[in-house]
Amino acid sequence: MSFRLVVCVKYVPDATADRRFAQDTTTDRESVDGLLSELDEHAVEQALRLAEAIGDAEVTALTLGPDGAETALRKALAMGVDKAVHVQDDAVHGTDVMGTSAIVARALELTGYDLVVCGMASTDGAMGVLPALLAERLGVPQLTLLSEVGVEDGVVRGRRDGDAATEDLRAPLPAVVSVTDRSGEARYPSFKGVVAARKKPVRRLDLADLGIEPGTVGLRGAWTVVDHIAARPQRRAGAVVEDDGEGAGAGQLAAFLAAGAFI
Amino acid sequence: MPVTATLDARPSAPKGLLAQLASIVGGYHVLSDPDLTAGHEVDWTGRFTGPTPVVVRPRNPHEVAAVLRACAQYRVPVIPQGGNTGLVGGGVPRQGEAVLSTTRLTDLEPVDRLSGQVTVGAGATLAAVQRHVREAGYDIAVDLAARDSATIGGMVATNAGGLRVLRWGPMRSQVVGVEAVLADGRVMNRLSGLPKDSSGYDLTQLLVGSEGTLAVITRVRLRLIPLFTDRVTVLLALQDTATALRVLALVRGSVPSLDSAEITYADGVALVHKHLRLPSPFRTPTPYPVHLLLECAAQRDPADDLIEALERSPDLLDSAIATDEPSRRALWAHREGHTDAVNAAGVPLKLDVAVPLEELAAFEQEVRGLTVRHAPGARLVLFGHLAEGNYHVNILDAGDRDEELSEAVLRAVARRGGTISAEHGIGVAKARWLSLTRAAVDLDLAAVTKRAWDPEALLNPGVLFSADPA
Ligand SMILES: Cc1cc2nc3c(=O)[nH]c(=O)nc-3n(C[C@H](O)[C@H](O)[C@H](O)COP(=O)(O)OP(=O)(O)OC[C@H]3O[C@@H](n4cnc5c(N)ncnc54)[C@H](O)[C@@H]3O)c2cc1C
Repeated sequence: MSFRLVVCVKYVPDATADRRFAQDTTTDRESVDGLLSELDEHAVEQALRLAEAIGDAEVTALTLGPDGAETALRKALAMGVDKAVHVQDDAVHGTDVMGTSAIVARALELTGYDLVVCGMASTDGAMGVLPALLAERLGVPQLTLLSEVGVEDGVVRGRRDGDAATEDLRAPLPAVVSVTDRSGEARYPSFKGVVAARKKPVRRLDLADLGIEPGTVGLRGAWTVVDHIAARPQRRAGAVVEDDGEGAGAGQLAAFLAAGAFI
Repeated sequence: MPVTATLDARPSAPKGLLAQLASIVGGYHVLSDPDLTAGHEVDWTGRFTGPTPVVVRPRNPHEVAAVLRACAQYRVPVIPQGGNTGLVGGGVPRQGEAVLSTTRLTDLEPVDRLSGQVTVGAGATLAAVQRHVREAGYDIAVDLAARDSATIGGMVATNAGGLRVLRWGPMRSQVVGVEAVLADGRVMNRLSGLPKDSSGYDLTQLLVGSEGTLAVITRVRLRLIPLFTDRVTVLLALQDTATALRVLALVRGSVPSLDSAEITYADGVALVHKHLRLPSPFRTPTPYPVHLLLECAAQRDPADDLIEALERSPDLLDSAIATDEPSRRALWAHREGHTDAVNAAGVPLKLDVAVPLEELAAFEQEVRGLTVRHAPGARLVLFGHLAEGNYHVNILDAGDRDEELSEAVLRAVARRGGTISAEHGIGVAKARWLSLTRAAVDLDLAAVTKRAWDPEALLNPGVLFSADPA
């Protein structure tokens, strides 16, 4: 059997756009374009490079997300991933990281894996704990925050560049790894890739397929509760100096600068 | 009477004029202190500079008219100046002219949704107008990197081009009306914006590209385009310029949403990668000779149209495609980084030329040859707007061969039926070369036109017309 690489990806709101919250304190996904998280593109890239190095390997992209999340899977497929799994269920809305890790772990068990590759964190939630939670739930070793990763003889090896030291790590397979944005530039999809992606299979799963009780996930099942959300107050407008057309404003400006000890 | 002698003899304006200007716009907007005028006396490139006795900043068309009447009365020539991002030295003083800064003519009228037009003050920046019309679901077709400073009036005066001319035309195609003040203070108003009006000479269009030599533009009425929601950007790796043209023809004929077609070459791309520390967008170890960036914009994802058009083209060595905003911006950096990367590598000789498309591939070879012949050791960086046959010719390290090389390149352009300025204007920088591409009859008519509008030659002397033609 080919070596099974599964790369976990997230569909996130474009971080460069204005993001808003919905009534129920979750992110309002309707109001902004979504895309494959940039940090997960590095995970896809590493999974593809590992597959190229291993030779007889197959890469699956796995996501848990709303309908639009298929966009993220399509991009991963266009980059070269072989097939995709999309876990989608209305009951998932509002799930926290504990629920997410339970669902994704279950999906991984169902699809099978030799190595799970994750990004270092999502660009929206930014917790960075999912890889560790997955490893714990699956009962396999984890190597997180790698800037280099390789597989040989049933072992995954990696390098973690910390502030104070560089660690060379290894763990037996199967395992979970996460890779940083320094692991290597993600490739762009090519025309050929986009066209080929159209024919690649996307398997859809819901909570029933995974045997997960809807009440244990979603907003209801979340371990943590967001009580209230308030937009950050706009930065105060500051003092506005109006000129009278005769240059009196200049004096006021000078006084303001002097008062603030700026000059 | 005490005499003050300064080493740097600055021009001074007649006393009476300063007082009169102050009574029109308020003393606060009449600048004569050298510290305050300094920013108006040098252009964006730093190559063109000259002293001015006074910078005056009128707030509305009436004040513009009164200012021009006052200057005419004292026979002081006037340089109209917008955002001062022009690249041919046309908007900075040369020898003691007054500067009329339009930067306070910033009123934005509401978007007219019925006609899809808007009237704006000539001093409004492109970025301000973009924000204004986008709130109403519209966009302005011309976009350029200097958007935060370049003014609508300056863009009309230079007939600015930019990245989307292929689909929408240059500034000329966006202008449906203008209001302008003549050198004697009379106001010409053509702001109705009627799409159809065949009643004689089109004076509005005459002002497009007039570079401040005929009148001061005070308000502009613009045609707007829809604000597109979906874009796809692709970077294609190709063998040579001829192939790029073949690919362009293929897409142009079948993908109406095509907005941009920008060509770059391996040496320029390498410079950009080094300057911005960008990785190559392609995974091959050896760089490709030509990159062609295409962008389509529509209300529904245009990616499939573009892919369908190109899917079977044998010309693509490789391709990179981006639809989401961050990836699109990352792809654009490989093209837009050129200007900065070149500037960072030295002080370049810059030419902005265009030739007919069927001449482009041969012209490219000719320019490369000319550079080697006239300035061995110089570095040529070519890039540009492919669909208009518009190359930005940048030459680094040409040393004292600058003039010689300029002349050789511009003559080559002229021989091939091209233009010595595709989108930056003539200004003072190119005035002496104009006769290369304009016949005597054209130049005569231009001179007569200038005299008809500005008989005292008070507006932007030295621009467009050269005392010393090549
Ligand atoms: C980084 C950068 C990128 C650029 N990219 C492009 C590009 O892609 N395409 C392109 O076409 N240009 C480009 N330009 C050139 C420049 O932005 C344009 O020429 C622009 O139209 C000039 O506008 P401005 O307001 O700065 O005019 P200025 O520089 O102030 O003046 C330009 C000319 O117009 C005259 N003028 C200005 N305002 C008026 C007025 N109200 N009435 C009459 N005459 C007036 C001036 O006298 C002068 O001759 C670029 C410049 C920079 C610095």
